Amino acid sequence: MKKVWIRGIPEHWFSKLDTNVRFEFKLMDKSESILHLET
Amino acid sequence: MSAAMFSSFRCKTRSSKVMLRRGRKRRRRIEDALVAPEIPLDLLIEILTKLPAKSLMRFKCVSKLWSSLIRSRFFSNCYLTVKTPRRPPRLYMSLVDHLLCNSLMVCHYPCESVLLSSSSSAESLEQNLTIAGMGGRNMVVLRGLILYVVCRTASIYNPTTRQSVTLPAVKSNILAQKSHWNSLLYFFGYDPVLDQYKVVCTVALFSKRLKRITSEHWVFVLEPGGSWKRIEFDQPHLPTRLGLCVNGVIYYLASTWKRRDIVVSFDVRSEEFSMIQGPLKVSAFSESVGFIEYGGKPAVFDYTMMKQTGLVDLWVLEDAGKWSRKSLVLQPCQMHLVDNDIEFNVEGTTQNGEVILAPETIISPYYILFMTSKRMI
Repeated sequence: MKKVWIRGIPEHWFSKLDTNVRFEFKLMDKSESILHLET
Repeated sequence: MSAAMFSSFRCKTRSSKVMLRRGRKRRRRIEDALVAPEIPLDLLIEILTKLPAKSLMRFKCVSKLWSSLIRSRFFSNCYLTVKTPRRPPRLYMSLVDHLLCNSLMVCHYPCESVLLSSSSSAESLEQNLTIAGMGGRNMVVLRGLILYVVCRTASIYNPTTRQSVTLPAVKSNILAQKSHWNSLLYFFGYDPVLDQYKVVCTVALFSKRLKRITSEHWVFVLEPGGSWKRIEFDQPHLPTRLGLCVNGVIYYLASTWKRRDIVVSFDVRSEEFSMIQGPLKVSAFSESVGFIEYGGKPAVFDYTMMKQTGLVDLWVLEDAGKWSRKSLVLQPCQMHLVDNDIEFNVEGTTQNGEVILAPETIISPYYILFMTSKRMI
């Protein structure tokens, strides 16, 4: 197991009320798609 | 004299014209040798697929041919399959500050959201890649696209082209009933045969202890003129985790009134649902259970005993629909990493099979854990 520090989260997010703040991580293997979205 | 001079001038002019013509011909021959002939289409595709996406966006201006080629489905599929070190896996973090809201249309609560991303699989999230106003809850990534939910509306975002589309609201009949608790979850799938992206929305109403569950299922094909279409499935259930798409099938954990440990599968092409019994020793409602893709298969990651014993169970759904169990043991020197005061969420896996664990609350400085699967017993 390895621990990786995450830098770059804007400071003000740490002082927000926990109840309203949600955060998620996702790792994208196929990191670049040039698909043109149409609906 | 003058006639002789004129004749000599005409003669010189003719000879200079001939020389000029010869010079032009020679120059044209040299130019033809210097200018490469038209690049064959297959070679052009091979070259373009190796370029960064940013360059391709600019190259759409080169010609109509290049523009239509770069925008074509064929080319964007080729682009995804090419492996190049210039496109490493990218870590995305979505931060949302918003009251829980059931709005399907216009939301009046203030909302701040930001999507951060790293240029590599981890470490530092770069400010220049930060996208304010993007991101939301229940993020799903699929083939370079991100599905996220704000209030109860789903959006799909392509971070490379910075293009975003918001899907129309689902016209669910059961959501209007206020006597029950309700849940609305979106799943994102891709059918490689028909080359189609589909979003599935499951709306569920449920009573206390899940004695009564009603569920509705809707499918949206991501194409011009797409709209929500209702899909029938006669086994009401409540999804309990976000889904994942493996080989054209969406899987998610769910509970029925009878069982709490069901895996629901949805075939993206045939649009048919089915149910699979989950691993019997795992409760889908336990907080310390994650649902991840592991080795190209859906897997249940049970870390209920991780802090106490350092033991984690990984249940992988094999091809025959049976579950195989693998166990991972943390070394004593690693136990300090899973601090007793901090709860973790499972956030997925890397290409190398490492499971990503992230502290549940936002703490400064923030970190994530990569659990390697090498020490399986």
